[in-house]
Amino acid sequence: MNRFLKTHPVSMLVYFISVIGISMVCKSPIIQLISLFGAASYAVWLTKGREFLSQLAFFVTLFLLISVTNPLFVHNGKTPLFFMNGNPVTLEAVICGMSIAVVIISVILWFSCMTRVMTSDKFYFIFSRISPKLALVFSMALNFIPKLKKSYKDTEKAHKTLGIYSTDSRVDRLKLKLKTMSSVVSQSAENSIETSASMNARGYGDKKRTSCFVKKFTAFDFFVMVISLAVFTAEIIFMLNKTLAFEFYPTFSKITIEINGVIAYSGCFVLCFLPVIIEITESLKWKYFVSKI
Amino acid sequence: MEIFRVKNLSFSYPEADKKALDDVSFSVNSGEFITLCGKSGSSKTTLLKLLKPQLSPKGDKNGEILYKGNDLYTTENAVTATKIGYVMQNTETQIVCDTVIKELAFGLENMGANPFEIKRRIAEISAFFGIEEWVLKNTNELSGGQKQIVSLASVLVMNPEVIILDEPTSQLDPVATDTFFSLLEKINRQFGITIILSEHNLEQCFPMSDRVIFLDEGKIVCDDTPKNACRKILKTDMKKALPSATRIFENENNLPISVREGREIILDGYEKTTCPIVEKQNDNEEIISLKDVWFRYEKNGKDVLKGLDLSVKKGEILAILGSNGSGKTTLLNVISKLRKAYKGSVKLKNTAISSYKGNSLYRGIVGFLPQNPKTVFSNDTVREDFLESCKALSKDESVIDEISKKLSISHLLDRHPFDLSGGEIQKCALGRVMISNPEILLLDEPTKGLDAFYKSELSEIFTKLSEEGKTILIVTHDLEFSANTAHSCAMLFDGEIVCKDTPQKFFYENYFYTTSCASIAKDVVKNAVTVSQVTENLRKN
Repeated sequence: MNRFLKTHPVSMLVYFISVIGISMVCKSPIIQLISLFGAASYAVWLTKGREFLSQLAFFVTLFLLISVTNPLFVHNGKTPLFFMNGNPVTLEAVICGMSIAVVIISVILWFSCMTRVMTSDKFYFIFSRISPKLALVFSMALNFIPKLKKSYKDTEKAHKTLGIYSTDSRVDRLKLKLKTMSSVVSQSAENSIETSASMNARGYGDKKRTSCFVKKFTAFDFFVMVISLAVFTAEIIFMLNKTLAFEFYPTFSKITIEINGVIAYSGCFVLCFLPVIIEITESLKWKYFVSKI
Repeated sequence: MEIFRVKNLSFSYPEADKKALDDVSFSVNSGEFITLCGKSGSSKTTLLKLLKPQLSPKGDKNGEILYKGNDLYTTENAVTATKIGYVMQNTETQIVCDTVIKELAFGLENMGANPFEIKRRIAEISAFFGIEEWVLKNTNELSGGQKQIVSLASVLVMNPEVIILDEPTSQLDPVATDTFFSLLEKINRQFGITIILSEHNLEQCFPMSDRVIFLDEGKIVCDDTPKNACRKILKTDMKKALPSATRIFENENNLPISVREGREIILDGYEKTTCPIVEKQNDNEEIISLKDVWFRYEKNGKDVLKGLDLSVKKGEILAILGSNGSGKTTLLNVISKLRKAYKGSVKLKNTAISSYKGNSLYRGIVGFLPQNPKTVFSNDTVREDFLESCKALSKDESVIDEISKKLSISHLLDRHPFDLSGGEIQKCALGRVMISNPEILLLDEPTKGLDAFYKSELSEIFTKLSEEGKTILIVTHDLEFSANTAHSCAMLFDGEIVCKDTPQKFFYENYFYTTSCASIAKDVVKNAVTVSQVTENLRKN
């Protein structure tokens, strides 16, 4: 089951822009943590856990690296933990490093989710709304890359068997690559002439292009879009009116639990966990359907 | 109704001293199936492109082309783009988009059609062609035959009145060719869409054509029914391209043009005979030896070669036949050390292939001519490429003259490789491969896209080379060519060689995967699989 995958591409793009925007801009550690866990949970859902676990080591190393690096260069803060080379290593700097690490990792995770969900045809659809010509270029590029790869492989093989480049000399190996590249470039230049003839033959440029890809904008798509936009605007307002303001130096700002803050945090929670919430409700519904079948 | 009328059309390319088309006149009626034939270089493509204004070549044009009574070149672009469909030869380059559905939509989108209309037409055409399963696929995942069907469908979706096809099956294997032709016939018969087809595979398209236009050096030699056209062509050197039945019974009053007609004649009036089996005696040493070879591309992938055994003697011409994906190209890659078998032994000249260090294998032992001959060239002229090889392999430059004489390519040496025709570039690529003077030549589909003239030329070249002691391994789909050229034929199926025999036994014992000659003569002349074998042993009752 992958309900979120079937969301209208525009709603999906709006969702990812809002969630990544908030994660990058907001300084509040609570918002950052919510975003991190939201991203991680969706990544786990999408990869069925396995791939995420294999990346976990990378993320932990990244986290440690960034959290250690910050206090080594930044010596602000009121609470020195110990002194190194006569410089204080402060608690504030350590926590600030951690916060930066959380932001970076959550943004990486959101982007990795986005590349899984926003496949090339979804971008094609969005492009085709903006300009059908732009969409065509995008589609042609996607068609061209695998062709180029294949052509490179074939040409390299053919040149290898000519026996004119020795395999143990680095210079020769480089020469083989260069010769192959130059042959591939002229082959594809040659081919592109035919492709453009084929485009002309089917009336390219005669009239204003349309796009045949239409998608229904359902109530669900509307719902995702409204939540994304609403939470995004709300968080921006809360950031401007200092509800979500947070400073690390000289010492941590106090996080007070008041009504504005609760609204901000729960809004962010809904936004960040939206895909997972949708998937879980959908799979529960599906189980219910199956039990009836 | 008349679709096209061409009046006294002459055409010459800029800076060419000869006219490409010389006073050509003909007309095409609605619903006709017309085959345009002629040798390579007889300006078939030029003529077809002139019928499609968007593709018409630049040059000096005289005469008139009328489309439904009006001048074709003043007809609105949008009309000629949709009503005149054009399918090209190259399966790769004419596809524009990355997925099949976008490719099908491409033309209609250009015309600014309404999205719902486009979707409907795509649905309709994919149901008619039975290609729903691939509609969402990426175009580069398709086979050559599937790509060509998509190209045809993406033209048909625009609802054309006439479809022009320029050698559409030249890059396809026989099975895909059959499928493609039967689709063409269906479109023509069921919907009355006019078809103008240029082709050198006359065996299949003559029986379904209404008219044949035979072009020679830019002039129409004949424009008649297939049977009458065959009579005229029999007197020219295009004869080799004619259907086997026609060539066998060239003196028959009612000239046969299909296997069925040929069989009717042979069954009625001819005595049962046997063609003597000519087995080429070869007592030379074994030069290629493969024993229990296993190969797969990926660690967890499927096996492509499954315990394959093969033994080839010096001087032998072996044709390896088999369907797509049976591992033919893979086998060549394994023999040429481009890929390594994970199990089994591969020996060339009694030495394990792994003991040929560095590129020593490619300097005098193995020469490899890939399927796409363009990949062999990287310089601006054929001569530069040859010189580069000579220098690197420390051969004397006189080798170039020797090879070009042998292959008769001397006049092509100063041309750019990509400007050459299919047959010419194939020979030049072979020339470059031969500079290292390899003892074993591995050829991947050398006859793909060639006309009968170049095929017989290649056949002669291979025979000559084998007499010089070269061993030639040809991977091919071309049954007629193998029957005429090879000393033995092997069938690759499911990663194994299932049989290896002389062409006569091989094709005579096959029922379906065989030459059309063998199908015609099967019950009358035993063991005859080529035209000459049949005619030499044919005796009237």
